[in-house]
Amino acid sequence: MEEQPIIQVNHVSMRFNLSREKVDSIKTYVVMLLKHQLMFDEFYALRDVSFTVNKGEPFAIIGENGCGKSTLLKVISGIFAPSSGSVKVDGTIAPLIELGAGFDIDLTARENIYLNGAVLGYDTAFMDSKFQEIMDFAELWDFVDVPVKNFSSGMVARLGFAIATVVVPDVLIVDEILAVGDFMFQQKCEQKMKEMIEQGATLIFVSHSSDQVKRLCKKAIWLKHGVTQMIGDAQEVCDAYIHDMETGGHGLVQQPPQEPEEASPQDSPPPVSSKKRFPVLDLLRTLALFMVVWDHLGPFRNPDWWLGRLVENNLNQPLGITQSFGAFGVVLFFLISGYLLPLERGGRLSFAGKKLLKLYPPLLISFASFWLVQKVVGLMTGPTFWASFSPRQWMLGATLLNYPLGEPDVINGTTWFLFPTLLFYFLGWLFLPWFQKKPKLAAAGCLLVLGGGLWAAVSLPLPSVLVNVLSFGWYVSFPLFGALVYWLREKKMGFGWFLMFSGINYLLTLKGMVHFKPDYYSQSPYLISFAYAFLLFALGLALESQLPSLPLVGGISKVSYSVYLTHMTYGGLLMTLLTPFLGYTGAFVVTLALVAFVALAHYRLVERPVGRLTKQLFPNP
Amino acid sequence: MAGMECDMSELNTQLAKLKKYRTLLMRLVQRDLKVKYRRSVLGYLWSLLNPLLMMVVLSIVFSTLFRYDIPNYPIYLITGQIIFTFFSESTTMAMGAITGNASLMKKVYVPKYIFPVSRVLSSFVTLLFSLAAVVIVMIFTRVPITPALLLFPLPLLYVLLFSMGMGMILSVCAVYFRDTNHLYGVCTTAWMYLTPIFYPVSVIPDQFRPLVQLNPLYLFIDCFRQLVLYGQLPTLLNTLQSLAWSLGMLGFGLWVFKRKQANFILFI
Repeated sequence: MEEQPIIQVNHVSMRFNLSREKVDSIKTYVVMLLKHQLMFDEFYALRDVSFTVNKGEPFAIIGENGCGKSTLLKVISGIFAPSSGSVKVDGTIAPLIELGAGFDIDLTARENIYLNGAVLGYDTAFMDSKFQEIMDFAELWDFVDVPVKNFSSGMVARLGFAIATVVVPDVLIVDEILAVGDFMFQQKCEQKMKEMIEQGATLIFVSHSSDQVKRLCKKAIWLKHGVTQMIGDAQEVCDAYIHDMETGGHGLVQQPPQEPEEASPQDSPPPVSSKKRFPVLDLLRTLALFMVVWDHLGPFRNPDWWLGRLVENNLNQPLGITQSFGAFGVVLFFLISGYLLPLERGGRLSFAGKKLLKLYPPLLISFASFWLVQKVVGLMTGPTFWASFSPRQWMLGATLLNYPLGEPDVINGTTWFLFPTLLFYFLGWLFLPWFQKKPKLAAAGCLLVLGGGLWAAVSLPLPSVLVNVLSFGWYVSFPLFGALVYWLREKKMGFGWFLMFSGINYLLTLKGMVHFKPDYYSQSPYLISFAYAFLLFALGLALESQLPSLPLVGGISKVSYSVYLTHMTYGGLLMTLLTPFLGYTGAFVVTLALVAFVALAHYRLVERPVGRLTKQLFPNP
Repeated sequence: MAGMECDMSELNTQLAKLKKYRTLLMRLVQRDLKVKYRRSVLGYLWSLLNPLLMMVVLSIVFSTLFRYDIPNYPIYLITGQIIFTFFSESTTMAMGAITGNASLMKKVYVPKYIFPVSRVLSSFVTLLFSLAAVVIVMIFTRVPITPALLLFPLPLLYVLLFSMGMGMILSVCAVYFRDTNHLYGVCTTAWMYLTPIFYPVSVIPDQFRPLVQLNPLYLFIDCFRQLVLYGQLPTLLNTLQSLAWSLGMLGFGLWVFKRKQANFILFI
């Protein structure tokens, strides 16, 4: 019976997120989300602690302040759930961690005895029978009906101790409480504890005073910075602990063998995610996002806006940039999507699943939420612009089906670029193994499909749905350029091959544009914007090592799809609503802020959960 | 089989815990009530007087200002009002349950759901007192006493379970975002105006009528009114919808709470 274990602590680690404790308002939260590396500021109070306490064997936990003693006690008594590992306790626990926890200072001693008894799980009848005993032990008969707020701290401790020890528990946890109260009471408490041990309670005792430990306990564990230093006979552990203290505490013993990822909380870098490997792509994507948002919420809606005109006259027109950066930004997006495609791991099924889940659910939900919001706004201000679209058109818009069917865009300028992206991903799905392993075949295959499609659309009497689909085909050339750049840069394709493929690709782009969007070719210098985007992309990649990697940029890049889905919808609505009150510039600024907020909410509530689900469904090999 | 056994033993320990902490739950409810009316002369009488006085004020305002065509307006008003007041009060109180008892939770192990549940229950006790006010109004306005009245605990049970679920979710939210406290006040006000409490359902335009049916509080209030005011049994549709809402919200609340409770302690 002696060796029967009563407490088993198995590989318990306790992690606190230091910075998270500061997050208690949405504003702080948004800021922290943007600087997402702060989330990883972790602190281990306990690391891989294991030990067993046998029944009837007084056990001590020693160590200096902040070494994790109290955390360990709280884990044993069930207040904290360990971050990893497990704790098994056979029997009841009386935690004397903080005496008087659960006292309501406005209630009297009598009421508090019942309340605190209830906190420990004792019912009223039982407390009635023990009331006398408690008050006798606490020696507080004169203060029975005095509110506890008028007690001294010693009196509170006496009452607390008396209540907690009214039943002989299987495990008695005592945390440095004997320092309170006068000398006589300390003696009395120690006496009581000895009695309880004799009656079969197992004592878990925490202290940094080794005298008491030696007197009361048989075995001990010594913790330092949450790491087990020594377990064994109380005498020996105490001596080692004292020796360590005397030599200045530098005799640091072993670190736990596993968990290599954790360093001290100050200098630990955030875990590297797959996106993190391309800070330059984050930067380019952020730039692209700003360009598109600027176009859609600025000059696109109000060509006479002074700020828009200023940029237009002094930057865009001299340089020949069309659509106030809109086309520029979108082409940048295309290039990035293309650049990342050859990096996809896994098979076709997982690729298709990942891309469809990444694209569709956020799209559907953003349309649905915007439909609701504009309905509500419509009730207050009269029908909005979007009220003129029928439910069918909304559904088509939310599924991108309006493009093949040749129906109008519900939300102008937002989703059209997703359709070519989807077409490109279709090619990616078709040639996925080649994209991963055989770049030349992949490029040739894509160009063949593009050229064939273009030829068919131009010369065959195809049904209109197919022609509509193919009319978006020429945009696919842009992401294909991105993939070509990746292969060239990673030396998977020679420069000659690159030139040849990009030349053919360029000619196909030109042909597609001339055929399907003649105005892009003749009136607005769309291709010049493309050239700028391509140059900027190449420049970014070339200067990668020179560019700083800013956490804020990483954050913005992460939410870019959410911003893309919500900026034109919510942004457009807000601009319409706010301009009469704030003027165009004021509305623009406020809208930017609110769009950022909506996009963040969308990211948190839709895009990220869907992303997690996707990761679970299609884990990376 | 092993899974089943595990589930059963899990359930058993939960039930044992519930039994063990029953006293605590009662004590906490008592404490809430004591604190609520501490040092007021009329004490518990206020839970009866409050709805009565509110009813008087509102019925004067609305019967002179708007002239809704509702027979027995006072009882129409008070039935809706006590249920909604209970809902908003209990959920608001439950919202602060975790943050308000943080110091206790950090020191002793107690099942954490006890705190929001006790807040909702103490509000429920107030609701029961308020029923006396309904009875008084019923006597004064000579509402016929029908056998249907015996079913009155049913809507109260619906709203109790619904509020418990909602309260648990809110208490979790409040731990992670203290802003919830401020936001929720706005939400309940909006919710109150969207619920036919002091206006008849008929003033709502036809195209929005289905939306009203989606408002669980309206379902509960309607059920209560059918029993008390019109002496009619609730419809099957209403019963099914109400049950689905209340049990669904309770289940969802428990699920959210269970998932998040291990983390609370790190945030409070």
